[in-house]
Amino acid sequence: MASQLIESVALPSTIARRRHVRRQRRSQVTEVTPALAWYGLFMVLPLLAMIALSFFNWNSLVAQPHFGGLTNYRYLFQDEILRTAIVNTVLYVGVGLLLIIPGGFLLGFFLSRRPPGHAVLSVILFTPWIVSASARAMMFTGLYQPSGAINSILGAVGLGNLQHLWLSNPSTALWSVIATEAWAGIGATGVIFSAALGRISPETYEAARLDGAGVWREMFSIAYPMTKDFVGLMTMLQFLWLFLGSAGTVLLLTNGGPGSSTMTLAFYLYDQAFVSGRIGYSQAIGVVGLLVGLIGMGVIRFAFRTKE
Amino acid sequence: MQPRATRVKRSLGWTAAYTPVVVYAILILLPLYYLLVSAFKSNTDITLNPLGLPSVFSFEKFLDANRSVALLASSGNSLGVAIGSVLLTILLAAPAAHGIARRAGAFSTFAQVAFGFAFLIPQFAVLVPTYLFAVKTGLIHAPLLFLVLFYAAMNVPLAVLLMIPFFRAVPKEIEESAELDGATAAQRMRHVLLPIVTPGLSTVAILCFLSAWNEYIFAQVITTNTSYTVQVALPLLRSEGAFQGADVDLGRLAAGVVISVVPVFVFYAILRRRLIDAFAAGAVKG
Repeated sequence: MASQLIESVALPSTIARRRHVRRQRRSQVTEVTPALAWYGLFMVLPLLAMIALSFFNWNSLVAQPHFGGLTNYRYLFQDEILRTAIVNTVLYVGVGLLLIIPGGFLLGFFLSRRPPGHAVLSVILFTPWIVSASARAMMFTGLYQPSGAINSILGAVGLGNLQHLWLSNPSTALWSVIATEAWAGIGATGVIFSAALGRISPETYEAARLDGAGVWREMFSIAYPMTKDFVGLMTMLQFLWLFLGSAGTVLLLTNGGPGSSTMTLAFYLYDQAFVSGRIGYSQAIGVVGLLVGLIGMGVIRFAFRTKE
Repeated sequence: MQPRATRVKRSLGWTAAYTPVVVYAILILLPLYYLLVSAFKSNTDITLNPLGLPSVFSFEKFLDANRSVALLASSGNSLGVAIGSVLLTILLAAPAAHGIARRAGAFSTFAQVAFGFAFLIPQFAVLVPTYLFAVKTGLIHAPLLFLVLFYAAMNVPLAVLLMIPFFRAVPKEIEESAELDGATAAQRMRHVLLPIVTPGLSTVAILCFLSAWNEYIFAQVITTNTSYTVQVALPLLRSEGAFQGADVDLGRLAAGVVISVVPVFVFYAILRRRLIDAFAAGAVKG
């Protein structure tokens, strides 16, 4: 009824109609522009500013920035710590993804078949994801510390020779930090995967079972191909979370140390800008991070491409 | 929930699959439990009786944690920033999503692609320029206000993309009849549209609230000791030598962690289903 009313009002002449369209277009621009502008001001502009600042020599907030051309970039090539940071970032993100994505997929497949107790398990497994990076890091600080829970348990079960100074030993620090990411990431990814895998109808599996497929075949020949795009998407998101989140996680757990054994690109940027005050150089590191990030996303897209 | 869901045959393989899943669930629950009980214990009790219930329930560690880094005040800061940024995000994103949903065309496509592009901007890339921006505009002296403005910008793209389908589902006729009744655009949004898109709105609000409450690194850079958010205040409970392998006051740290996660866990307990759906939706849109 309402639509009939509209027609009788809006259609008498084409002029009125054209005016209506114009007004609609104008109202659309008024509605969308503030959000676009806000996001442009706080996200897009700073991104461009980062690239611009990377060409400046600017070594303290109180000093004046001077245009230095490629000075910062030339320094990048001699910077040993940067090399460590790139290697660590690749390990951090690579190992993190290898634990989180396949682990999450197995878990998601298990949960999506609705075994008894799956609802309770989903609630528990998702929990770490809502714990902030800061609270998670403090929790693990307590667990990892010299007399903390992990060493106590190892001692109690007679594995005292496996006790370590987890976060202050250069050979275990990076792995200990990555473990905290996997602790939080596998469960949440699994629960989200189970939501996507739950959309596969039971009949599909039924048909496969009649053809003699076992559980592993069901997973690799049905579940994975049917959700491949979604798995690719989650991999991309986890990649970004690990890559960017490493700044906070490392700052909270190890401060990049011992030495530079847990230095990652995102943390190194933070460290150079806010601890060493080398603002210009930190932005050149940011540009390197941007490139590494784009390469990583390209690799993930390629790995999950669907053959035409 | 699915009526046709088939129960998995309890074969040997499935029983075996339970083992790692249950072990992982224990690895999640045990540290959280350990932390919770430690918060109520004395330090000797923590060492001698790590997993048992506290012999005497003591709130001393909570008081101690709050005394040393003002956790309650900083939780208040976090709450204010989170609520403020949720409101600002919705104020910006709801009209934008409506505008995009109502009219197709080059401008709509451009806006959608632009908001989608946000997921490719690495946050650390904007860290330093954002800080410099706060310094240049003087907003660094109103750090909590700045965080409200910044978190809104951080959340607007996802909020817009999540809400578009909800606005699309609202029949045009409802809006047009309200327009004929003389309702202004703002009134239509407030009284007609928003009540209808509440499910989408609450998803957005949940995600934005949690991301603002949990955000660490920007808050760490922007805030100072009178304006710390709870995520920035919490790590200060660690002793100075923590990075050199010194032990920390575990009870106090545990109490601090408990204070910082309680609001989120209450949220989770009430809105569990919706929260997981929201994250899944966020992931799909991202």
